[in-house]
Amino acid sequence: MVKSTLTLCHLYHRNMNIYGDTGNVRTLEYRLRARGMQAVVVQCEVGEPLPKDVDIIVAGGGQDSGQLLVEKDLQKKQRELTSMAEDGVVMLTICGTYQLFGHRFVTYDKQTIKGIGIFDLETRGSDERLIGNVIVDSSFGQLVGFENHSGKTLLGAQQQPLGQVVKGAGNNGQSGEEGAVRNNIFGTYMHGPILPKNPHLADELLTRALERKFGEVKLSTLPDLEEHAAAKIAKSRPR
Amino acid sequence: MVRRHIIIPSAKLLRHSLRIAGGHGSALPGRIIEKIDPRFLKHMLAPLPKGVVIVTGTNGKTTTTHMLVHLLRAQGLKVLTNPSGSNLTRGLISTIVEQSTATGKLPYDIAVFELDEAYAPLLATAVPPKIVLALNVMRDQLDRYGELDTTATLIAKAAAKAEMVIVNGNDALLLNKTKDHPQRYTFGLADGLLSQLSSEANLYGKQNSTNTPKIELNAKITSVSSSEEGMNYTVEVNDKVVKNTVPLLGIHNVMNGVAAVFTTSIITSNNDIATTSAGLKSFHPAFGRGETLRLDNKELTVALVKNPSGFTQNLATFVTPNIDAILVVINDEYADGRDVSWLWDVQIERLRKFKGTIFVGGKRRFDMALRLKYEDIAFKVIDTDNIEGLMKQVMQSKEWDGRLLIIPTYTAMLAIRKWLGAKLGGRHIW
Repeated sequence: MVKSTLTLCHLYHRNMNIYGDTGNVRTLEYRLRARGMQAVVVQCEVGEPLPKDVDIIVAGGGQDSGQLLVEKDLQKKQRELTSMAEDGVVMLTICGTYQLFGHRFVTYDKQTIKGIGIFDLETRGSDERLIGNVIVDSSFGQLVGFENHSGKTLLGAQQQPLGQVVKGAGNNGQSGEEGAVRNNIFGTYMHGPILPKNPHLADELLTRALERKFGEVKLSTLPDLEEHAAAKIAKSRPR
Repeated sequence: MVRRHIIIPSAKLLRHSLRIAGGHGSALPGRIIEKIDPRFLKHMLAPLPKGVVIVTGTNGKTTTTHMLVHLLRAQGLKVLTNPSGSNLTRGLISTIVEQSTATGKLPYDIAVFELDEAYAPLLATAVPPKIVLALNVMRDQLDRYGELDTTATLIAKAAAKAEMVIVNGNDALLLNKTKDHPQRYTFGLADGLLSQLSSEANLYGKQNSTNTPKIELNAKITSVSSSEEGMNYTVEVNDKVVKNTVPLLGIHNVMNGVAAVFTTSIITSNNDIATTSAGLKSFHPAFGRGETLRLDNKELTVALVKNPSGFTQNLATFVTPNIDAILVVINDEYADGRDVSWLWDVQIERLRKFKGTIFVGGKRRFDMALRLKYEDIAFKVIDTDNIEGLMKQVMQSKEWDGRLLIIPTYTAMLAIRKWLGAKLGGRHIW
């Protein structure tokens, strides 16, 4: 097999993409293309089977109505997604799908939406909306994004966060933590979308996926002038 | 009563002194009066003989409000309206204070207010309106209001307080949320024309465009074509067929125009749609809605964007072979929305075939640059926060001549208007 192609699954694009999270897929495609490699992007909507031999799954945030549709479908895909997660498939889940990758989401009016438990966390709806620019220190470097959620996420005792909040609310506005990471599975509230302005995180995802598929990989450095300039300005903006 | 007599002159005085001090005295007097008398709005507006009309929705509020005011005035009515941009009840209060007589009366027949989705229900609760005109619900500045469902619910809440609601019959969310209203009228495009609207389906997972309930539109647009004068269209109202022209480009502006004509005919109980429609021909749009100005032997067309659907619609409407260069100016001030992630939902691939230079400016210029970069569309960043500096560089650029299409967000549009106004010798340009 030629070391050049990754299969990206864009999960629930139709129902879970209200904050431009498609930009994450565009970023991964671009960063492979810029290095002479390529991405095959497969859309997977509610009711459709997960594609075979996936290397990266990307899923976004949606409205409450979208989340309800996705809940049932995720339950059907739970076993397959869990085994993919154990198998090292790289996954990036944002906001609504991040919440549903936990154990459950208890809405503000006390309804329980079941998650698939890939992350050890649960989320509770609140009447407070956590909105604004966010800066997070993570082991992959500083990250910048925009959060917009009323769910408050509580991590289980063993669950690692993605990073520590420098500015913004993060998982729940109290813990000082943002997102979650387990093996190759990443979850975060950061829109923006997150990957265009955080190319180091994008490359981390690509490196993990390429190494899993092809063995050791050294990604060439890209100039990333606009990426860094955009991140710098975003970090300087009011909440 | 006594209280009101005292309040109005003092608010006027306060506003006057703020103006002298050189500030923008739009919000502050309103804030003070709101504290003094919460029933102020009702006291002032309830006596208007033809009541209050609220124009709300995501896109087209300013244009439709201006059209409606223009048409009502052509019918001889004295119309009170709020200046564009002061979308808040406080700005509204300032308008009322400024327009009231010393004895606290409004010498008008009717009030037509442009209000965004969050403020429409607040005013409607204070003063039950005669009509709520609901244009559409699309993604816009979600960092402020949350989600589309929430936005539609807010509009429905305002509509529920109104005697009548006039609603976009092509908008599934709005139709569903207003379906129980006892007096609802609809306007919109006939099925065959729907594909010409920039598709929300591609942006929002079809939640707001398919499964539209089948209804008979009260004002149905059956044909649309562009011409030198703007958009020619045919509309059917109560079995009458009328042909007319709206002096703006874009199919969405035909919808805005028909909404304004239909609302006017209901307010004035005038069934002569042809005569009412004809009033649109002399309408002048607000600044930034696609008009073209001349400067230094060049032509500038300014087309405001606030959200992905509007941006995509503007690309479809204004990127023509006549355009030699494009300048996109993206700001993230509060009035623009702090979140710029919506840029990724714009169908920017429409620019792939564009041959001229694409300049990128504004506070979040590099976010826009990334959007273009990942679609392999060439761009040139003008790396300054300063609008004057930006405009100077673009105007002096050797890379283009002829006609420039400027696509600014709201605060960028205001800054460009100010810059253009100064360039054109202080002339009012909206």
